[in-house]
Amino acid sequence: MATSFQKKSRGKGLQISGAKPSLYNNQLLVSSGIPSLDHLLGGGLAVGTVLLIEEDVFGNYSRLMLKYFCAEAVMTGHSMLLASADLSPDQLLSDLPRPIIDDPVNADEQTKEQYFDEHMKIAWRYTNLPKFQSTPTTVKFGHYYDLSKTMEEDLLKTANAEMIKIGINNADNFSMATNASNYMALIEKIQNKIEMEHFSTSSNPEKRNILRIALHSIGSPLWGENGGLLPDGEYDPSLSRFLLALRAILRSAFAVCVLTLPTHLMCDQAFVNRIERLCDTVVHVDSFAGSDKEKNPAFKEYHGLFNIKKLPSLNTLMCHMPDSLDLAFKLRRKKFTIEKLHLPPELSDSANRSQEDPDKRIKPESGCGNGGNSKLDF
Amino acid sequence: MIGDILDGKDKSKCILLEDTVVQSCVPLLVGFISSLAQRVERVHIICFDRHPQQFRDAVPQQFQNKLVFHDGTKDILGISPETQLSLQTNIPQYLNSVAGQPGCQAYHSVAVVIDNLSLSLLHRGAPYTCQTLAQIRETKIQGADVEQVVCSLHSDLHDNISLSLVEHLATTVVKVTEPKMDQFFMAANILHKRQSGKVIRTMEHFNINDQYGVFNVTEVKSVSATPSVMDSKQPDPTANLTFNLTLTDKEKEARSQVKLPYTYDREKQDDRLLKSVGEGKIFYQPDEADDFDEEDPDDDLDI
Repeated sequence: MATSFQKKSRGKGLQISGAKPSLYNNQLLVSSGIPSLDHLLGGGLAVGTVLLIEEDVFGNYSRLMLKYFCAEAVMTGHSMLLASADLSPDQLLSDLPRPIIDDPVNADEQTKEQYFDEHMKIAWRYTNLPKFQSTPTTVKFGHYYDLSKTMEEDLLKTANAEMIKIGINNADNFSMATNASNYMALIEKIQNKIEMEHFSTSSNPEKRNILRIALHSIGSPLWGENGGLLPDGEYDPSLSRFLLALRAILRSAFAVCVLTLPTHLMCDQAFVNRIERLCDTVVHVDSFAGSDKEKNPAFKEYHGLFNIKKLPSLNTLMCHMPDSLDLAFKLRRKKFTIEKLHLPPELSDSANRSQEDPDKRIKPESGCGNGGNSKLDF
Repeated sequence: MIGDILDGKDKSKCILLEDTVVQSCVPLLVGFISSLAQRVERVHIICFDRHPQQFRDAVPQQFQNKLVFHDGTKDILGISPETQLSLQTNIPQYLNSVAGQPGCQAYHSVAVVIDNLSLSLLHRGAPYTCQTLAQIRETKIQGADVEQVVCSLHSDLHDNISLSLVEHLATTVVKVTEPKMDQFFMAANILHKRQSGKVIRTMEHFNINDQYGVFNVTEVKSVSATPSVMDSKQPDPTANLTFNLTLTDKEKEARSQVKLPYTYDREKQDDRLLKSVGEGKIFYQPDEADDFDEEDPDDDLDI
């Protein structure tokens, strides 16, 4: 008797280079260019969503993350639309990091294997146990990049990129545009591009491709934004409107957007919350550069904290939950990694003591127990 | 730090000098003008706040021929249509048109000094001011690159948002304050963003000489920043050990040769590791009570 069981066929699904279906909800994913970020977001950026990167105070790391996103577009052959007011987009593009073709991970593993070949003498029963790793290592999706070199010219020429420099009107070279008109012009350009180059879900091109939209430092003063305020002190709705329109357009398109936004320049938290609500994924890069934390021994290994503020829940009520939300990032020449924040080992006796002392002072009176040193207190 | 920024040793594209009513930044601004006059072909000085004559008198004689003053103080709001420079003027465009005139030409490098941004911030708003500043920074003036833009600002006249927007744009922010020690003329809180991404924050006291250079620069460290003295007194854990940590290679080799009781040699280890779970053997010795029937092994099962 034939069984009624049928294997679910994935063959019908879309085959687009540089994209894969999510293992959780079959959503189409693309890589952000940072494998550890992909891992945190549940495999990658879902097509049709907006990732908001809240900039660090000096904008260096958020700009770098945007560059990784653009470099990934070049590597996967995706179309790209890059807009910036603070920097010239051409300069941003020519500064992209060079991809590392021979996987550093494999090299890493080889050295590890060599290391284990030296026979263990004492704890030999552990030889065959799997090795613990806090960051994902098998990368077939996304690339690593070498920051010390820029991308080869030949490779850059293959990029299908459109550059938009915000703020300077081409017709009248020195006219100052207001933020609302900047946003309006940009959203029109995005919509046109999606329609003209068949990125919309309703069109049926011969070969499907994905559009990556990268917006650098949107909402900075050079976009004409005054910290989210109108001249009369009211909230300026232009940016919120833009984000709402952007998301609506992306939902029905094979496009994904990453934008960096200097939230520290915004007038108040309510305005920032409003912006966060209008994006699907929100992460905040909190660099230690120029702050006291730079010298804090607890953060010695890292370059900054990485806060996940919002994760997307697409076609589902539950979002993917990473193992830990206590994250930090570090930048190596060939790798930008986001990982669990581990405190360094406590080696010195003196540091230990200094930690215990303030504890005693702060100890709450109204804990479990009625004050005083009862044995039941804990 | 302040000396390097002033001399141009530490490159910075856009310098913002913030002063308050307590301490003016004019001496430092004149210092920047004199230093720029030595580094570039032309220095354009746009005056909205103080009359150009004030700067002309202050700058040492030998640099005068490099300076081009633009007086914006006559009609600051641009009421008269003949006014060339006012707050309504588009400064990059204005500089471009003026720079062609005789006595103003430059072929490679110019610098722009703006005194100051406060009126522009108050009348035109922060975004406009920032956009203007960014344009001046990036445009070429009659073919010459803008090497550096130095602007001053009265920080006590503006709200925090406007200030943070302008500071966001600047690569170096120098906040001039009153010195806390009598022997110094001025103090400054400096935030310098290097091209490499490194950010430096310092508080410095300094004096200014009659050529408007700085000397006696002293960095003031906050109390919390000084490293604790505890570090030097940390005990060395490797002292007084009962065993030797510094073995020579020969000694190490000798040590590895020693066969200790209960250590497994390599074959025995491999043998243990290869046996996976579930492969253990069971030896069973039937006793007298066992009634084992060869033909029907499940005889004792009561179903």
